[in-house]
Amino acid sequence: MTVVSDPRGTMPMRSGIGEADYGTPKSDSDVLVNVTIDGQSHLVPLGTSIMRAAGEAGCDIPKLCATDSLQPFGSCRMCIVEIDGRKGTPASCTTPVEEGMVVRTQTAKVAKLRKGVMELYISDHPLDCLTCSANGDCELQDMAGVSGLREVRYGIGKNHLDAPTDSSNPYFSFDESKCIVCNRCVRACDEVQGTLALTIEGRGFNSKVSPGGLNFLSSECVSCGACVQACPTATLQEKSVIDLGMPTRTVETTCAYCGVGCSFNAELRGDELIRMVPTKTGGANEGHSCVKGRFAWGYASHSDRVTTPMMREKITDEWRVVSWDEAIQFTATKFKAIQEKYGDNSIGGISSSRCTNEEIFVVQKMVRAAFGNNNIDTCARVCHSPTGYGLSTTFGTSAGTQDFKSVAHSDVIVVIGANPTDAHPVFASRMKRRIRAGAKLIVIDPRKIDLVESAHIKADFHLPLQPGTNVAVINAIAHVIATEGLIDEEFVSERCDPGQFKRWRAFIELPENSPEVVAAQSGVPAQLIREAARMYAAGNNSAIYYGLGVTEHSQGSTMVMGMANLAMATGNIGREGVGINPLRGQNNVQGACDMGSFPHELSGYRHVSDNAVREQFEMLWDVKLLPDPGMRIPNMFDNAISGEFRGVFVHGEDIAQSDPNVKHVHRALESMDLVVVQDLFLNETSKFAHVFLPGTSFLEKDGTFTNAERRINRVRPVMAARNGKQEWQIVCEIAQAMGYDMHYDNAAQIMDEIAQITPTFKGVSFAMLDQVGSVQWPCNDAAPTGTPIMHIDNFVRGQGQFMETPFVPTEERSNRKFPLLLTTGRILSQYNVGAQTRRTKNTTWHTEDLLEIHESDAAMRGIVDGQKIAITSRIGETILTAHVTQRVPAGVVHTTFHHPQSGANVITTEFSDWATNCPEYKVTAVEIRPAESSAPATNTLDEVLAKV
Amino acid sequence: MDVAILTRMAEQIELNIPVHEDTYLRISEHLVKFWTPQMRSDFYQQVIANRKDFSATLNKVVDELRAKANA
Repeated sequence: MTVVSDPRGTMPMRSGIGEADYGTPKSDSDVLVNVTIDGQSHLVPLGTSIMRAAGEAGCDIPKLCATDSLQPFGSCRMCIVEIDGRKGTPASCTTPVEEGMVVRTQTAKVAKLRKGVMELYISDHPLDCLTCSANGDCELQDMAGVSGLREVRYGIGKNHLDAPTDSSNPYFSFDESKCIVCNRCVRACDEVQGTLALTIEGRGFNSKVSPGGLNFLSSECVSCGACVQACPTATLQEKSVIDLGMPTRTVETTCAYCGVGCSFNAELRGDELIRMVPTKTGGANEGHSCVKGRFAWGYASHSDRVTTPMMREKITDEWRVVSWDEAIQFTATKFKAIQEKYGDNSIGGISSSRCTNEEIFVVQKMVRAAFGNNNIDTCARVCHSPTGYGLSTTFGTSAGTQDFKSVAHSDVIVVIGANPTDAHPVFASRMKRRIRAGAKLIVIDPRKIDLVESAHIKADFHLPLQPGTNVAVINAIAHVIATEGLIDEEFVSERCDPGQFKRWRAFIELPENSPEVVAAQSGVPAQLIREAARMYAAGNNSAIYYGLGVTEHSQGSTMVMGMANLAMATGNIGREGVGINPLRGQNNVQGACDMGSFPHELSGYRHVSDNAVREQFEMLWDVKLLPDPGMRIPNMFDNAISGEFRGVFVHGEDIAQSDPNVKHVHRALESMDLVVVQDLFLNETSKFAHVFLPGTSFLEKDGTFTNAERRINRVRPVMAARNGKQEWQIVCEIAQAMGYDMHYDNAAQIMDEIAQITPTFKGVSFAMLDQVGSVQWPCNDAAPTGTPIMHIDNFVRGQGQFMETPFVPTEERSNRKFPLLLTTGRILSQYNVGAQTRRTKNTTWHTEDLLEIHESDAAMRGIVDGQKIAITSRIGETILTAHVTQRVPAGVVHTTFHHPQSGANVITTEFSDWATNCPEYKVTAVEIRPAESSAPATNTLDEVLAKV
Repeated sequence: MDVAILTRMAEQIELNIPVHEDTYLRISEHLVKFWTPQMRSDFYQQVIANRKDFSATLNKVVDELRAKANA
């Protein structure tokens, strides 16, 4: 659905070119009432405002303070109407329709009043429409036209025309002289984003919008853009629009940052991207955005982009620009030569969750069909592979159970090992809305994340557990539920395997799982565990949301099963408001897993040993497939060092920076005869590469992403591929050069093949997605419109499978030499290894990775805030800047991993999840000390490694 | 692949699968489902050559898998 439209629609809008704005939110009522508007009779849901009813009927009512993403406010007085039988002229935005109501929206009386109101607004507004950056997209300008205002009778008096402009934010400016104090920005910050950073300061004529602090940049503003989108004038305006002018066309596409998968209108003039505006019809985001998706897209045109293939014989040689043909032939010839010398199993591929489903599908197909082995793995290995193991074992499929909207029905929300306000901000806003409306909140996390306490949010319970004790705590919660009679016996007997439940119950009731025992292990007081357990069990709808703080542990898979046990035991599965919900880190983690890029599974989570499934693929692909699993990423590294694994195709993942114990990774990469990297930039991994194949940014891709709620969204090319080829084409060409005929005319054909061979995707096609916008798998004959909520009547596996989850403490423990535990995470403005966000103005907020350290630990070591410190584990050492805080408990330190020079993964260890080998990023025993040099930590990763 | 790594992986799996009469079957199933044939083979050889260094369960796992392979 490529939308090309005129920005001047029938009504003024600011929420994306071409999107209608009905002024107030839609009513959810099923009851219809009859209302007559300007002589025409209409049936509308009860609770609908007159403004919305009129707008939906095609009778647009002028408005300034109203927009349908916000609750009605009734301040601007432009939307007044006359209602038969009522005195005065009520505001249509705040007046709901009633049965039999007769409304007149265009009378002489209201026209005169509206004109008078508009005259007052314009009397204190710069009359610079022709040179204003919002010219053509200004609701004030449009309303002046609609109201028929031709002159302003008031002379020059006291006004705000000389009010200053705040340009502190890197992406938008705040020109106070153009503000009409409609409150939309303040309400957007409150209602949509939930940060409450803006307020109206002063009274009467002196009232003005204020970010609270000195300016926007120094305030609590999170730069989500909701205020900019809500502003009806040029007061809050994207700097890109000010600099480049208004866009003239849009292409709807999907953000390529986190797993929320927000829909955006890419707004362009010609082929130049002017801005990204979140779409109200986007199923995941419904018109909201965060600072990354809304503003941090400049990396796509960054000068660091490599757009031509490059090669070199040795990694110490200089890169040589080559043609596509040469690069592809060299790659294919060399891979084949390695296989001839060392065997078919000596090469493999690693796919990336940043890529589209179609790209990932062809990469795994290339490995299985052209390489002739199953040595394909994905970066989900290092994030959510335990989710796959845990949820498929207990429920039968590797996916979250709910859609994002479900949280609006939750009464108790449990957030475990996730920091949604930083890592999944658009979903966090939904969650905060529900919490502000009364839902209870339990946070289980070593750190005092923002959800524990922030504006109008306070967790009912925060369980600040020691890193590495997740399973002990979840078992203790389950112990309370089992021993205090809080199990939903009816649900369990109807839905779950009775034998497994009996085993689990006997296990979980053991004294070793009691809160009193676990308190000593986890540091969480027993009473706190008991009260949190009771709250979770007592909720009508209790939901668990979790992140990498669950999975990236030596017991990541066990913890996922522990949460699933809890949900089954309390009947919190199979309806709105409940469930087990992984917050996926990258945009297409779910899709990468769905597409068969794990070494043991074909698309749709079907094991390679399943003869019937394999035969289907063999028939379709005309090739013999192997029935045994291939190597996981860590197996590839280990085998490279031992000389058995000699070549790898790395598709869009920077393994040399993002994988743990990078010294080990570097040794592995150095040991290989051929490392092929396909990426946007020369990343850390490319330092070990022999071939560099330029990739495409999300603005150039054609395909689909699948978000954390299983929603398949279209990714449409906004601009031509800078490298001249789609990535799936490049992969097909390598396969062909290796002798396997793999060809598609377009990405839609790849999705058709996915649908043909993958039961859960059977109903999916580009044509279908273009028609309905997005769909959540399973989408097939049984669920033609998709599946927002899973396991409603039965679990995918039939009966729910309780699993015993013994707590096995990690071997990575603090000791006298390394007395602190390091845990890692993300911050709002940056994303993963920073390859994208470091190449945008988001560096304004985060110029380096900091080490959070509790004030008592800092004092004990003579460390002060801002000081350079050396942090050492048994694996290595790096230098970071200390941030002394109470956000982490004593004994725990925390850092981010967005900057390569920080070398966070120089110190993380080789330990991993027992079931999936997902690295144990979240627990590393360390010691810190003031750095010998006070110089900034500008050393490169190579220098850090040389030092260790 | 380094047998020390394989040994550690197997021992971790054993630690995390609860002890029941069918534990060895669950471990066997896990190795078949997720390990490459080469990893399994290297591990079998290591266990067979050093049986006393491995738990009774892991010994039973290897016997079970070899019996299945030979069946």
